[in-house]
Amino acid sequence: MRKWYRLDNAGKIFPSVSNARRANLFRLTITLTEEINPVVLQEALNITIKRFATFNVKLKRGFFWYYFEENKENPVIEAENPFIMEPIFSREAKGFLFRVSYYHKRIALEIFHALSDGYGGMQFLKSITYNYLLLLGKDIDSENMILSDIESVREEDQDSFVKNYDSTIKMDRKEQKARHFKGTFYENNWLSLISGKVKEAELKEVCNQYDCSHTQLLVACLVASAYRSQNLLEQKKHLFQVFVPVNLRRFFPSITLRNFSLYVRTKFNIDKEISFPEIVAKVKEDFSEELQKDKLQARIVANVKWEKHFLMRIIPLFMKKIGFKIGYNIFGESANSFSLSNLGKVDIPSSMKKYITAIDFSNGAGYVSPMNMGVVGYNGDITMTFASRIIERDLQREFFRILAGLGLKVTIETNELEV
Amino acid sequence: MKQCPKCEVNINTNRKTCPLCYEKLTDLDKEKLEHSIYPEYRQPKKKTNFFFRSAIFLAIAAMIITALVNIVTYNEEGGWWSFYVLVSMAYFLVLIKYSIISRGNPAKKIVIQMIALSILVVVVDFIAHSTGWSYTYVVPFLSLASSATIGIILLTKSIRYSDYILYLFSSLLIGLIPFILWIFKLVKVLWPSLTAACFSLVVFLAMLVFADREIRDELRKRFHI
Repeated sequence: MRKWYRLDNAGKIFPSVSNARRANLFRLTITLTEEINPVVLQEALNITIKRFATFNVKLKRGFFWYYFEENKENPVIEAENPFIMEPIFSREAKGFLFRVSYYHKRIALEIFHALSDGYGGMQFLKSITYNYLLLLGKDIDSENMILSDIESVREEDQDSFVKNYDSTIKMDRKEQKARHFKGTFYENNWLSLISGKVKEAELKEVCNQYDCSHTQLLVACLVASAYRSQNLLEQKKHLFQVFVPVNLRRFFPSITLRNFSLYVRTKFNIDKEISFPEIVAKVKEDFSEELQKDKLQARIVANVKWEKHFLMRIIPLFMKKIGFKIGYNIFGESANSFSLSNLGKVDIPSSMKKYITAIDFSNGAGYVSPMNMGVVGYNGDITMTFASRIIERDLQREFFRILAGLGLKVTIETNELEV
Repeated sequence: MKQCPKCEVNINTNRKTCPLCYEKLTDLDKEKLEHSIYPEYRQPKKKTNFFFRSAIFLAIAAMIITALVNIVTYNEEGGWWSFYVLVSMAYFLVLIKYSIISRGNPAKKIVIQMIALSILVVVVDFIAHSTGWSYTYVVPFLSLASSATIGIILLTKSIRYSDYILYLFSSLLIGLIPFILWIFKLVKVLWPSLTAACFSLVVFLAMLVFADREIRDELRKRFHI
């Protein structure tokens, strides 16, 4: 009997709403000091996947729900595709819902969001890298930070949403349509990446000046750059809503490797003039209002409630899929103008640090909300990566100019088609 | 490393202009990157299935032409004969897509064929105002044949049981339909539907008796709510 798992509460939606234009992938990369050896990397992946049972699955269709079933194949690494986060076609990937690729010194992991969130993905990529370096005979120690070296426990495949469900809590859910960016789409589903790297210490200084966190400052800069690139915003009365995912493991005890995150939204009326300090203040206010444990739990409950509902459960899958698509159009992508996801600082064992030069994080973009940003910190650097479906890059330009204006030294890299 | 004087940012690239504002870049250290940061763009391979597309085209063309000829030359005696072509063409597309192109599980192909063929004969029977030969004789024996085939594959080949069991299940269920129709007096001749129904019930019984954990687990997995 092969092991099988239900999809977690947040993951349940993704198989129904994903397609070639909206793949719902995210991408994590680790850059090493030397060129990658594909043979060794394949071996490292083979070792690692055995430890990560929740990644070693394929998606299957039940009569009422999708489920994950243990995958007996071996995942195969590939050379990196110039098309970043191209949808994963299950047949070519032998059913696996992630893709490991390499390009010169970089290992990239692209994951379907139904499997895991940024935290879980990072644990997986760190373990692959750890095993890769071990196989190369490097003298490294996991220092209790690499899961490959720690026995797996049942809590890792827990659905922590359901775990924190409490049927006594009540919660209404209201979502408003957001104002979206519009522009000229790239052909052939091309996704452009523009990343900027700043020093954590310099960013910290600016944050102290405004008395806010890194994420809050970056959200404020983003809102300010949206003010300056209004030509890209659709002409509608909706508010400009920035979607910021929150890792719930910070608030609720959980070590799950599956999805366990929610979000906060901060909303601006872009038509009214506003100064930068005022933006920061508004972002801080929205964050502190939403980021309270009882409010977060009320939202977890609202999310879990629908999947526990008797009627919802007995509707056949093909009808559920239609409902999910409609629901996702109302509550999902269209309620976000922009999504800014901060993975925070990645802990790497000190003995491994000298082999790793950079870590990047980016999110696949859809076509309703065509731009987003992934932020991750490693070794004193903070990297912000814009992913975009549209050719115009006013927003990115204004954003990095604002950072430069705040006195930060920014270094930019892109996957631009050379003009 | 290069620098954009307008954006005041450093840019790690071999480009001559700024990727943000297209201003000319100043070179800081005259060093060239060994390779671009991301793999070079190449035109993606077109993923179209020429075979299936031509099949769709031919089928639709045949449908339109026969419908047209039927309308123009309509007379009482011939009636709407073009419907025979329409339903056959629809079946033809199912055959190509789900049996020839598809690389799915053989049991799935058998069941889809059985259902598609059943629909085809029932529709033809209906258009021809015939005696109900389709659900009296054809459907019971089709379901019997498909259940028997899946059963034989299961017994003779060492394949994963659980992949086939659901298809066998649905094939057996369809085998019961003609008998139910007989109960409601919609089918006049008993023996074909009774044969199919008995066969289905016996196999169901066998599955119940010999059901091991694997079958039960498989059902729980597929039907968990």
